[in-house]
Amino acid sequence: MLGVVGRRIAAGIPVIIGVTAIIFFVLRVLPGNPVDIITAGAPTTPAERQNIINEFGLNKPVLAQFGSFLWDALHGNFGDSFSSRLPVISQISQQAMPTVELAAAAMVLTVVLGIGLGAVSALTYGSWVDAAIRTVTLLGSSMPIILTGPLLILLFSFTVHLFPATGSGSFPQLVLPALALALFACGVVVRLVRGSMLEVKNQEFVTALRAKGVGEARIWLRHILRNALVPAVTLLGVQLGALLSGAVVAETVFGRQGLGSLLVTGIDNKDYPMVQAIVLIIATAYIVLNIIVDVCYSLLDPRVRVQMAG
Amino acid sequence: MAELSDTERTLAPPPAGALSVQGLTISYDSPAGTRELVRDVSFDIGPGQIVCLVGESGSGKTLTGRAITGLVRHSPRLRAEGTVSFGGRELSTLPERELRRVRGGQIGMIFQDPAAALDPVIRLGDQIAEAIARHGGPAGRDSRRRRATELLTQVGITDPELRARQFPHEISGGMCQRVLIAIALAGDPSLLIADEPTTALDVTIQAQVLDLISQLRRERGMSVLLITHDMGVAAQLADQVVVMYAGSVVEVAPVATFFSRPGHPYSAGLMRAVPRVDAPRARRLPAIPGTVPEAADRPPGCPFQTRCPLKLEVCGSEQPPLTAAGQSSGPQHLVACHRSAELLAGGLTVWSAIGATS
Amino acid sequence: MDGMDVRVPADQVAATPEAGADMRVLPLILGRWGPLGRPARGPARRQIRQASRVRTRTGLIIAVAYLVLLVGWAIIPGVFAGTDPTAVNPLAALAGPSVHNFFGTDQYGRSIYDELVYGARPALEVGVGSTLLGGAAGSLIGIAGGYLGGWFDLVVMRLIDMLLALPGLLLALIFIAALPRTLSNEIFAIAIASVPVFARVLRGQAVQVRSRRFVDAATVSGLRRRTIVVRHVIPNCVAPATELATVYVGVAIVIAASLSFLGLGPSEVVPDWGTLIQNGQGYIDHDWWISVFPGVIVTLAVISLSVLGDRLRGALEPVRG
Repeated sequence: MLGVVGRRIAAGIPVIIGVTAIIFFVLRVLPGNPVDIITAGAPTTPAERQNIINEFGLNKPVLAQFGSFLWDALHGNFGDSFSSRLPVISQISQQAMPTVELAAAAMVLTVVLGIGLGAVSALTYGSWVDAAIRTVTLLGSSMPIILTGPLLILLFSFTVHLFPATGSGSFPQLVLPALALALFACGVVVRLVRGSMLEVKNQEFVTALRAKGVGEARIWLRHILRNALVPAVTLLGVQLGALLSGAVVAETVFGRQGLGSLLVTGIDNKDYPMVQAIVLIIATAYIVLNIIVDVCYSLLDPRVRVQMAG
Repeated sequence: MAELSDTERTLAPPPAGALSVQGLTISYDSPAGTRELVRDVSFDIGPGQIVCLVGESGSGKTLTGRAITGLVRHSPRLRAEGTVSFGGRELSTLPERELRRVRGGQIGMIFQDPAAALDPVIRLGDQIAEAIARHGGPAGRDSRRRRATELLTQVGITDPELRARQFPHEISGGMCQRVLIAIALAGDPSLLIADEPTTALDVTIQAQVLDLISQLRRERGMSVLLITHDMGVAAQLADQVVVMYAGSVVEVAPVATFFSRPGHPYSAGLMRAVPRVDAPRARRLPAIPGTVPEAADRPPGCPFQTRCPLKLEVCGSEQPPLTAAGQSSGPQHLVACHRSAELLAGGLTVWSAIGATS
Repeated sequence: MDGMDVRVPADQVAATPEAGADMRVLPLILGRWGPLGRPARGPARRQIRQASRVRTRTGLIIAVAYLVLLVGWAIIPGVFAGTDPTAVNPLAALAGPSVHNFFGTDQYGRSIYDELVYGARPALEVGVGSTLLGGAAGSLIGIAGGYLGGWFDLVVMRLIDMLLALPGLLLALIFIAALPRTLSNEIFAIAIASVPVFARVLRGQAVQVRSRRFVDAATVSGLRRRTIVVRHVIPNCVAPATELATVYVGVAIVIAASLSFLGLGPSEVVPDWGTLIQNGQGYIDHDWWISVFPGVIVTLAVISLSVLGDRLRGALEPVRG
């Protein structure tokens, strides 16, 4: 088991470095002079410009800049923001909480809704419950957050005063944004769990279980669902990525001051160090999540453990 | 259902493993009308007897096996009628909850593809324990585990503690089948239904599994319904043979009688078709010309008429009932053929007529 | 193999959505059955089957009709709406949906309906443009990697993994950050985001096709690799690629709307679906139509494209032997 985790982590490191490289070079190589960005177009003397160049290390060859960026990043130093001249990392740590909360809540909700609704849908196959679940999840996964969000706000904040529409820091403020994200992400999972369960139920071992005299409820919950989760877990990994990028949008919709809004302002101001750092953090989080998903996958399906070890 | 100790079991009379199937008909509805997959099947199994249900693919033998324990209920398109009496109880009218207790308990079942019949994500020991827990086993995980290990040993698996922790994909097909037998034994069954238990296995393993079944019958007084298309298996294990063709029973006979004097043209044809070591070389294997008709294409009257060299007018209109073959064969020999008397009375000439057309 | 449903004729099996799946489970769990079997439900089931077949064909028609409407809006907006959607009309500000303004007006008195109609063109340009661009590039890379294998495949896979580590929006965001805010740059950014998606799917497909026997047969018979790819591999990859592309147009439209919503869209485009939604955010409590209708238009586009994509794939799939 540890071997699998170790191998996955080892495989993830070059990916992170690669991603960092992509982020770094795209921002550097494409048009736009960093000095002008930093000075925000204000008139400057050549001496001032030279100072800025030295301060941000802009005179070194690009590869060297990348190298020092990596080195610094490993030590938690992501450079200073072009806009505020303050260390990027301090702003990030101040505003990280709302994003972490939202991401965690949305993930839990997605897993619960996805598996739960998928199972219910399979168990009530052909009935109105099944049809209702499939319609709702189809709508949910087709509606962008920029619609789901306002609709939820309209319904649960203004029509019925259940939950606050904006802000962060308290649990009620977490409900609507997490729900909006989960509704979007769980649709595919529901369909997959449902389809998977309906497939598994036709397999020979299910008949054998019945011949054993095992009760239907146990067959469905302990055996069929368990087997059906195997393909669903890999999908969950992908959906979690959608959740992460959706959180960026959700923060603006629900007025949460998290990393998402920090990222948006960063892009607006062309604040490259900020953008770099946040994107890198999100990408790393995604890679780590995928490693966890892989581990869960191998826990669920013993046949896979042999493959993974090899 | 109290658990008998080993001593009690050997001293007490053998448990009632008597099964009686009467008039079993399984059909489904299609836009073009009702089709019968299994038509009016009847046979009995005495306690401690091994009965082989023989037939080719499409004969309905697997369906029959599954219908006995009511597994047909789970297939919504199929409908089953008829009666199944077991140990004095009428299974066909039992509510599902009761029937579930019989399944895996008094009637155990094993299947053709042993690896596919096991849940791939659950350890073998736990799968056996599940059956133990379901059928009056001891409470407590440890005692159940011990019982599971005992069962594994009884089916001839060495190092049972190790095996119990393994998953189905980690062991061979033959071992999977033994595990399945162990699961079936967990409920202390008086009847074991084995649906083509050796078809998916190598010949050497086949022999081992069959020996195991035979041994269990001896030790436990268990009766066995062995469903197979392999005549060799029937010859080896059966006390009685029931032959099915295209959904109907065409012959029932004690094994010795069946192999020496089959009373139905189909059975005779099967005999002829088995390759023999002592036959002259370079002779074409006699086969029964034609193929088994689909459920939709079965003609009225005898199902075998389309391939039978002894066909008469009456065969096309009246389905021959299962009747006693005659005094010479004994009361347990039943044949469904209008011309069985001729077949049995006639000699080699009549036999040669069958199956020589190839 | 002698199974439970063996000998049930093919037409019966094919007609039900999932063969053998039409079973009520709850009664099973409750153990409520008596005799060995239950009466089959032939006539009722046939009705359900026919009904669902009709329903899905209607679904396709509606989906295509809607998409055609959007294309009409994009090409000839003047036919569907007034001439200047950006005209300010303070007298009619914040009016709800009515006969004059189907979708109501915003705080400047502009008709939401008109703005939506005129916003269709940039939306479709981005959606279709980025999908074609990214889809073509991604598919080629994926098929090449999948079919050629070896070190080329390894490099391709690593590259895809890296790009995929930045989920959806994020990859596009980097390019949006670096480039000036024009429509073509937005198309480019979203196209890049689609490349790894197409590459991964098509690579998987190419690997599958490569392992099929007819490819071995073609290779053994001496056909050049290029011919094999063109004549055999590509046609077999068309179906999934088409479905993915159709669905991705919807995804791209959503990404573009989200970008505009965040204020990161192309600066020159007015009106823009995403900006419309963002505009209505502050008014959501009383004047909900400003945000909701644009959102609904986008959602309907996504649904229609999914339905279309699914049907196209079904139609294009080579007949299974």
